[in-house]
Amino acid sequence: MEQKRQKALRNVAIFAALLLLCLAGPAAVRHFTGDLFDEFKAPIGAIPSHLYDLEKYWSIHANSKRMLIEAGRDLARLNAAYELKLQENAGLKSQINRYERMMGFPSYEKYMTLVARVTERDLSAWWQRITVRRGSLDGVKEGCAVVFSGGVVGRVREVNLYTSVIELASSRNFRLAAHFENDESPVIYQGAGAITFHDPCGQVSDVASTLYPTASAPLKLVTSSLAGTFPDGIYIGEVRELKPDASAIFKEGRVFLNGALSTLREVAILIPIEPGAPIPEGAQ
Amino acid sequence: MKSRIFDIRIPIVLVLNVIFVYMIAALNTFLARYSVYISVPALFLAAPCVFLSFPAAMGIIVFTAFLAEANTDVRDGLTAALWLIAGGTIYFERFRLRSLEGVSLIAVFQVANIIILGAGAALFPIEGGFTEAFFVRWGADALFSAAALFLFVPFAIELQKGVFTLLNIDLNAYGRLE
Repeated sequence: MEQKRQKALRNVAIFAALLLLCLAGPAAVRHFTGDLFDEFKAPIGAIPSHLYDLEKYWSIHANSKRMLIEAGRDLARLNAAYELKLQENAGLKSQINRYERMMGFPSYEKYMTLVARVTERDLSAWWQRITVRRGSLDGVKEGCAVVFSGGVVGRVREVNLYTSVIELASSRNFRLAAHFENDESPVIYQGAGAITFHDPCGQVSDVASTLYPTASAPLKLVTSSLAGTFPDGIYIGEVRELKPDASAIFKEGRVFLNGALSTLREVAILIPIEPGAPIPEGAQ
Repeated sequence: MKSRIFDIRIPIVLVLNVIFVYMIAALNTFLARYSVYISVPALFLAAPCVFLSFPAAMGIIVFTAFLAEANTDVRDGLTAALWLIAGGTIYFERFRLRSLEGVSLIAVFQVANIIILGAGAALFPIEGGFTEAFFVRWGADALFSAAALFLFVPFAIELQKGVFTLLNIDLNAYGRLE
C-alpha cells in the first residue's frame, strides 16, 4: 500500500514538474528547445521532397533516346529565342544604369532570385504556410518576398539553417499595399484563409468607387512598390465583384488567388541585393 | 526482489511516434490541395499511454509535442503542456483500455482529440482572430480529423503490438520489465 502511494506521489511530482517546465520554463530554454526541434525536424521533413526529385529524375531517365533528342532540339530552339531576349535585356539594363547614373537615382535592380523546393504544406484553420528547402545558409532572411510563375506566394516568416517557413498570401496575417492593373490608386490586400474544398482567397479594401469588375471582366490585382518587400506589378489575384464598405466611400471585395498556391512544388525567394554582399550559391 | 532493467518499449514507441509525426505532415502536405487539414494529437498519446510507465509516457508525449509544433507560431512549450494534460488524464483512465479493444480505444481518443483541438482553438494564436471563416474551417478540419482518427488509432496500437510481438517483448500494460 505504501509502495503504491509512493508511486502515485512520484507520478504526480513528475507530471507537475514537466508541466511547470513547459509552461513556466525560462524563455531562453524554451526557445532553445524549440529551435533544436526545428533543426532536428528539417532534414527528415525534406525527405519526401528529395524523393520527388529522385522520382522525376528516374522518370526522365526512363525516356527513350529519341524522345531526349527531340526534347533537346526543342530546348535548343527555346534557348536561341531566350538568347536574343537576354541580349535585349542586357541592353535595356545598361540603358537603365546609364540613366540612373545620369540622374542620380538609386539602383532599379533590388532583388536576386533564389529557387527553393517546397517540403511541407501546413494549410490549416490556424495558419497558411509552407516550408522550403532553403535557409539562412543560402542567404534567406526574414521578410523576403516569395513569388512563383503564377504570382505572389507570400513572405518569409521564419528562417532556420536549412529551411524557411513562408507565410502564404492567403494567410490572414499577410497584408500588403497593392493596386489594380492599369490603375495606380493604392488599395490594401489581406489574406482570408481557405475554406475546405475551395481555393485560397483574400480580401481587398480601400478600393476607389469608380471601379466595377464583373465575373466576365475581372480586375487583376498586382503588388505595389509601396509595399517595399515586393517589386511592382506582380500578380496577386483577380477581383470579380466589389461592394461598398462600411464607410460607403470605398469598396471592398474578395480576391481569387491562384489555385496553384496550395499545390506549389517550387518557389522563388526574392533576396534584396545589398551592395558588396556576396551572392548566395544558386541565386540569380 | 525486483530488478529493473531498461525498457526496450520506450525507444520503440518513441520512434513510431516520430514516424507518425512525419506521416501526418506528409498527409497534410498532400491534402493541402483540397484545403483539408488533419490534426490528430490524440494519436501521439495512444501508444505511450497504453504501453508505457508514467514517466516514460509523459517524456515521449513532451518530445512528440515539441516535434509536432516545431514550425508553428504557438509559444514553445504550450502544445507540450496541453498534450501533457491530455496524456496524464488518459493515463489515469487507462484501465479502461487494458483489453485494447478497438471501440473503447477510439472512443477515449476521439474525446481527447476533440478536447485538444477545442483547447487549441481557445488558447493558440489565430491569424486574424476568431472569424466565422475560422470556425467553419476548424469544424470541417475537426470532422476530417475525427474520421482519420477512426482509422489511425487502432492501426497505431496494432502496429505497436505487432512490433512488440515480432521482437518478443512482453505486452505488460504497466510498462516495466520486472
